[in-house]
Amino acid sequence: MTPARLLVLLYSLALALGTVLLLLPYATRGPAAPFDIAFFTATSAISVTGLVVVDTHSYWSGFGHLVILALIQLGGLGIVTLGSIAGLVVSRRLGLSGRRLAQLESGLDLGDVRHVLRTVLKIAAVVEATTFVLLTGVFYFLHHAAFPEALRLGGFHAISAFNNSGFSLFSNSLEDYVTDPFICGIVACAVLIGAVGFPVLTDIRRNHLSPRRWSLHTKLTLSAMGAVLGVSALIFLWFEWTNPATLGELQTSGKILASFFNTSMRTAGFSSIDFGQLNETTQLATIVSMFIGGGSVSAAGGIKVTTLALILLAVITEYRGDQDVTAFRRRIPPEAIRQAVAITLTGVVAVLTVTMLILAIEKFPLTNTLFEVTSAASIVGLSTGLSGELNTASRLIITVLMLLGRLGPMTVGAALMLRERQRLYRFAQERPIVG
Amino acid sequence: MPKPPRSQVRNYHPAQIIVFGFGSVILAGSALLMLPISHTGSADIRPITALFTATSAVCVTGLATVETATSWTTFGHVVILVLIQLGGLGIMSLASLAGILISHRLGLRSRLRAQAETGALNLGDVRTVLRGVLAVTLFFEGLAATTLTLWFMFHHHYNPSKAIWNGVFHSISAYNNAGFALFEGNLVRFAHDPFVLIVIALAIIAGGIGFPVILDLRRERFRFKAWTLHTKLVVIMTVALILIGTTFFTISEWDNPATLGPLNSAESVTGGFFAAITDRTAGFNALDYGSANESTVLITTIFMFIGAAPAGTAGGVKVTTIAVLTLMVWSEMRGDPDVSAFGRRLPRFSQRQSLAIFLLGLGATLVGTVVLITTGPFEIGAAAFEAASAFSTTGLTTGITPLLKIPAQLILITLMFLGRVGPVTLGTALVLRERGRLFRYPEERPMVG
Repeated sequence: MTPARLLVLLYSLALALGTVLLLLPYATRGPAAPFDIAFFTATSAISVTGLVVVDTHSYWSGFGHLVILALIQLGGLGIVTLGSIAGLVVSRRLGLSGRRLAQLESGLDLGDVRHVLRTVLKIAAVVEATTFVLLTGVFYFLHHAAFPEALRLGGFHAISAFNNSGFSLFSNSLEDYVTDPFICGIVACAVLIGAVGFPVLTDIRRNHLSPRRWSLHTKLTLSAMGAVLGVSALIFLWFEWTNPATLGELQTSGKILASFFNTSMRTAGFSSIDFGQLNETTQLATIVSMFIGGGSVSAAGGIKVTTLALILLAVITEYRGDQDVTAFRRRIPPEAIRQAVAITLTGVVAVLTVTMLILAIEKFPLTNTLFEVTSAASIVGLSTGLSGELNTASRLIITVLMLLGRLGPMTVGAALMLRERQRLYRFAQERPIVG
Repeated sequence: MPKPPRSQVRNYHPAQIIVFGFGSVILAGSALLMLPISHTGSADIRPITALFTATSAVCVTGLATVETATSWTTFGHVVILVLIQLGGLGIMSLASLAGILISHRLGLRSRLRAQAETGALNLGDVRTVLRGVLAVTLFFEGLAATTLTLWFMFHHHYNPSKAIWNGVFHSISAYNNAGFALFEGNLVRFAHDPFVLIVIALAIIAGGIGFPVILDLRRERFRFKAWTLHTKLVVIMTVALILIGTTFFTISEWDNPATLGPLNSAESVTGGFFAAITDRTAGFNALDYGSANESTVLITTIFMFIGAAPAGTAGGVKVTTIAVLTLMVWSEMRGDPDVSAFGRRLPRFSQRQSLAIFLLGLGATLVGTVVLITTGPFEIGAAAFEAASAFSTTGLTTGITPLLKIPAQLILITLMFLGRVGPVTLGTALVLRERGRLFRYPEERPMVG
């Protein structure tokens, strides 16, 4: 079995188990959940999306919350670890031989894997524990929650934040804390650390803060992520400044905090303002930034910032008429560019196809549908409020999309491909006219 | 090295020629459309209106801020027609020339020749290409004009001069993928007359399939194996897009009372077929896109963006660009080391070029959409439709063009111009500028996805 298929199988098994657990009568406060709600919620949790069709706090019991949390942790970390190992091995292998995912098994070095795994677990534990302690403290001391309640809120949101899931125990996400710099700051930090991805985190851990020794991947990820965040926060601030339903009523400092917080949630899905009230430009910008997503091998979805960076670099190279695509004094192999193109295009096609499908089934406005679909495909979890109104058919489509979004289009594609050929000859070159 | 013979066009970069040529024709056209003799007086024609209309005509788009049928006099219509013809011929011949230039440059033999290095063309080639483009154009336009004229005369009982004028105008407008019509409401009144729609659709296809393909088809007829890779890709993509589009439009609008609803089955299928062709990228409309379903608007936006074939009169990022990108995705998924199709390998710079063109289109359309949304209370769907229509030089609209404020009109003018000259110059001229580097950086592979 190829690693790609193994990954698909693992997710399906975990998903089935999660659905069964959520179907149990203990999982809900009221009567047992129907299948489609349990399935949607389990998928949303394991794919660390955070879209919900029922209110997490009031619908599910404490046991249900635990199941959701476990699925988030498993989806965000357990399978990420696999992905991480795969990613590290692939990048090392590929640089030398240009081979792909399928040759991955032969390249697995067990000692190396164990080391990588340990590092990943250590990082996750440290970040989640820190977030947990800080959040609990803030809820207990500043918001005067009872201690067990503070523990529950702190624990749930810490795990949800680091794994970029966006599930919240508040029915309006973090809207009550829109001007609270502590809650927003802590959650945003956990989300961003979770979103840069383990290759970057391990690299930073190894080489500390001396950027010269960072790998190209780290440099690209951090600069691209910074740029995307900065630009989208500015757009958010600019177009929502006077919108009374969003930023309009806040102080200037609150406006700045809210726009940075909500734009850094483009991979996680917490929100401190109502995204249904955004004006069209901000919605469009949010759709684009959700589509871009976070760093490679992280709990964040989307096409990933490095993919975007590579494509832009390739285009700039083309405009300048240079031979090689370069960044930070390193040459980027054409195979990486092709991979980036493939990922982006499959993403675009998937989002547009599903949007069209849902528009054909139901009568929703284009913008909201596109927003919801992008949110599911990039496993974000932001919503303009459409999820609750979906009928069963479109809910099923969104469920599948979340799962595909977590696995990544290329994994799915590689898993679907029936044969892997090695041609021993090359065809003659011919050039079609383009443009 | 002997001095190059005089029979060479040189010193100008092809990109400069294309941009300069289109720019000056647009300005001259605007000036003519500003003359009082062009206006009927029923609409307020300001300089921006003339500039918009001239750009729309030269870029063979068809977007109009004022009703074409009633706002311009016959003189104005003639000016528009000449601009369309110049724009269509210009883009077709310039793109074909640039294509030849590149194949020279890339051919092993010509690489040795100084003329290839300086980016110069042999005057003989230029003459052959221009004569060919002119002949092909006249042939198809003549055929369409004759058919339409006869039909207008005998079926619709127009008097001869009116029939001829309408036949000629609409066949030129169709072959050049412009989409200007002399009827109020464009071609909506012909929804019940499939014959007119089919003739116009065929003329659109002939114009949009591109000069290189027509040459190849003429030489090789229907021997698929003998076709060039370019022809194969273009023909397959065109047929596929027409089939997908026809199916989608017909099903999606079947029950819509404002579009295909009131028509009988045959008329509905023709309507869907026409929609699938006109949106790449002619811009005639036989159905009102303002009342179409959201999913129809979305897929039309995508089809407009894709466009038709290079070195024809159509716009968009072009079907070959999409084909190359799709093949890249396909081979990536299969894990093939080379990107290949029909037993031919696609060179790497073709892949990068396709990417550059695609992103230029995406970026321009997105920026245009945002500007349109901020200048007026338009929805994303309508704004993206309008921006894609302008960039791909299609000319379809959901009805917001007449409502646009001046900044929005300016952005559309820019988009039309960029959409007309951008992909061509990117697709061809940039190759000539490839710079050598005396050193290379070490390779490092970041993770993606």
